[in-house]
Amino acid sequence: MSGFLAAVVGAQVALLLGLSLALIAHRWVAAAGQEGKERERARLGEALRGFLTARLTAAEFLRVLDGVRPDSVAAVIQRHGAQINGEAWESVVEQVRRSRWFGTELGRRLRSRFWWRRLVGARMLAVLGGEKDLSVVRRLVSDKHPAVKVAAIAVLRRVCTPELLASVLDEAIAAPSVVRHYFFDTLLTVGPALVPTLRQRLGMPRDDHEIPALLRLAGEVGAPELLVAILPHARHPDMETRAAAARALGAYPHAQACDALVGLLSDHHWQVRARAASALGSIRALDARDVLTAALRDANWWVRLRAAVALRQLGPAGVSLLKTAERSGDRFAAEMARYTLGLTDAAVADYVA
Amino acid sequence: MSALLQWLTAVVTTADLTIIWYFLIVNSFYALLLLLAVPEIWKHWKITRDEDLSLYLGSEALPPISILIPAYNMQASITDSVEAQLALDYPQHEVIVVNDGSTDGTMEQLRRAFELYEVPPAFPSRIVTQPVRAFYRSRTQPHLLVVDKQNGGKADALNLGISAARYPIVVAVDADTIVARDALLRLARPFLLGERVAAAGGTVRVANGCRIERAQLVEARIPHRFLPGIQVPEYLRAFLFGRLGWNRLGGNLIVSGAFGLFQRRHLLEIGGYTSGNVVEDLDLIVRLHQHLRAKGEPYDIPFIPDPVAWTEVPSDVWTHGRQRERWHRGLVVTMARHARLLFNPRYGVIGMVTMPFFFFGEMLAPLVEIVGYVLTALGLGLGILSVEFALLFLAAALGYQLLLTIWAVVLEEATFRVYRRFGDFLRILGYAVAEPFGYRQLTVFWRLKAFWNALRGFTHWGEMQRQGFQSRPA
Repeated sequence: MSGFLAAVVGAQVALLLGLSLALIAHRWVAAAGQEGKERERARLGEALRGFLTARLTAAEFLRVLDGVRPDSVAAVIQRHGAQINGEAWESVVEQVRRSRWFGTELGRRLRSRFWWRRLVGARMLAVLGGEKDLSVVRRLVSDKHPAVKVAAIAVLRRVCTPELLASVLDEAIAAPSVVRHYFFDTLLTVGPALVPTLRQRLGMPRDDHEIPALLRLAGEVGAPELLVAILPHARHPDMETRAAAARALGAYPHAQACDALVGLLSDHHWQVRARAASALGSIRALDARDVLTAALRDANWWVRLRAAVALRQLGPAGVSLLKTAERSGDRFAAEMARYTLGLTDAAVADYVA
Repeated sequence: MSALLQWLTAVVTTADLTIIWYFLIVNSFYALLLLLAVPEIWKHWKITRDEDLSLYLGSEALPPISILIPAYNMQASITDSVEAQLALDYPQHEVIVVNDGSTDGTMEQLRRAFELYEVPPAFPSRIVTQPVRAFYRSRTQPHLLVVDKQNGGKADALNLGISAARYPIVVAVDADTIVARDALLRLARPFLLGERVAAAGGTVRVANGCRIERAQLVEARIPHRFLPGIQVPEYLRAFLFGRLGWNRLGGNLIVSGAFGLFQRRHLLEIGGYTSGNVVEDLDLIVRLHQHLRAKGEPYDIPFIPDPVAWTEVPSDVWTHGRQRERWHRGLVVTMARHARLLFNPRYGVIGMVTMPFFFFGEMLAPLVEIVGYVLTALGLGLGILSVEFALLFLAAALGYQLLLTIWAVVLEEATFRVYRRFGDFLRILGYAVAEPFGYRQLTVFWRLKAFWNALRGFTHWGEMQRQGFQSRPA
């Protein structure tokens, strides 16, 4: 047994010494490497600023780009790409795309079988991508690694075609809710280009399950052309779809939207009623003040809260109705009216958000 | 006489052999966790390197978060703490402070600093707690809600916070914990990667010795004082490979109570924290696993290494002892309470791997260790064991743990390298080497005391002496 223990202890001591020495050596090397990397990045950052302020010519900037490691270019370009836009950035993009490493290094990363290399490539394309990269971008957007997808989606801010939009929309609808919302946020940045694609999908959804997601996006886009595509879904047999329609209509201050929402306020599902009440507040539907006041007596606490907040959003008319409700005989309505009347404007805005 | 000696020799050598095998098996399991932690830390490192968090900050996709701060007698630090949580980088979050019947001026301090005004209760009470005295909103901070309630303990305060939260995600943060500015963004990243997060924990590091200004960490340092310093590699070991390794096995059992994220609906479904449990976080996660498995709902409880919260660890022996005793007592009570999960295949990895490991490898470890020390001493005294064998026995048992701690330092160095100064790095190594000699035996003693207190049904937290973060020198 002593022999076995001695062998174990011996191995442990050897490993311990080896690890400690390796750690110390790594510290020295990493510290030196880090310094070099920071110097290189600072030099590149300086060159980039020089190029943007015309202190450096394109050829000089290109020479600096060719002389640094791809990792440094990736880091500096990503950092600046998030802060600079417009023509100035496009001139930088043009030079970076002409640099020696762009075609080789980036291409290698984008085709790599390792997701972390594709991730770096996707992040680069997000700030440097152009129409030429469409096929790669479409592949990245449906990459099997979620981090690559999330990075690639940012390319939409630079490149946008109906095919790419349709691909991204498909990916978004199939994704879990937070990922979908993130994709939607990026889709919103393309503006009016999204409207025809979305209107078409709302008119002819591939299946019923995708309608709530499409409605949510339509609500966030808020383009008047989409209203007619949303309204039919307010009568959909599925509760979730009706709730999504109610939420979307909150972005359309239009008589048709108001009528549909008033109808939804008497839905037999409280989730739909609460959404409808919120939406009526969002569109400042003064005509709906009586039904909102009636909703203060709703059996569900959330509906009462949403109706009360909506009345606050209506301004003096709504506040006056809340004051009346506060003095009314209905305990639930009075309690909710008292609560919302006590909120500051900022707190009300916070509820609305 | 010689028959008795023979019998004793047989007992001591057999027990010593059993104990050494116990240590080798338990530490080998830790080594397995370490191996499993490598791809996990690699994944996180690759995602976080050069990651532009501002993209997430500018998006409304991340789920809104309610930060819950249970506060008891935190008059000196509560304002800085709340301000720091309100200033965290996140698209949408609120802060709910639950004043748990403080007997100092905590409530008055909050009232003055944030211009509080009383509001009626604005949420249906979903979990039974001690009575609420009043609800307050702030005239200067619309995202702040303060609830003043009668004292009921941390779990009770958190339960009220869960009821009062408006958002689907709640993050429990200790009032004396410093959360890194970008920690919420990092903690919520798994949502963006499509994971089915039921709860998630971040790394908790030792704040003692660090440079701190207005409840924000300015520079990470290693404490010069021995007791807080030696806890640095201990925390690294626990977080950087212990929990990351469990990620791979799918059986994370701890989300730190000092900094953890939860889906509010799950907490409501299981009735929140168990009041009176001294380690409410462990009990909560065990119940969460049980509940979600029973529901058949797919879920993840990941540990994410890059969001960091800094906590003040005890710097005197008695406070440290009380803390460790309480932690271990909580483990004993939780294991006893959920014993039916042990080796129960219905609970998958949790029942077949995690719970047995926590039972045999964590809970029983101090008992086995003390028996090992006693028998070795007895064997030496009676001349049954040679000094050489006894030393080899101790070296084999303790050396493995030392190796694992050094590996944790390797992981830290290869990835996050939070401690930039070379002197600090050497100090971590020094503390890691010193840990098995004296400090470990001290923790064994505290943990043994926990068994006794658990048997007595002792539910007290024990007073925690903390220096606080004000005017913390570098």
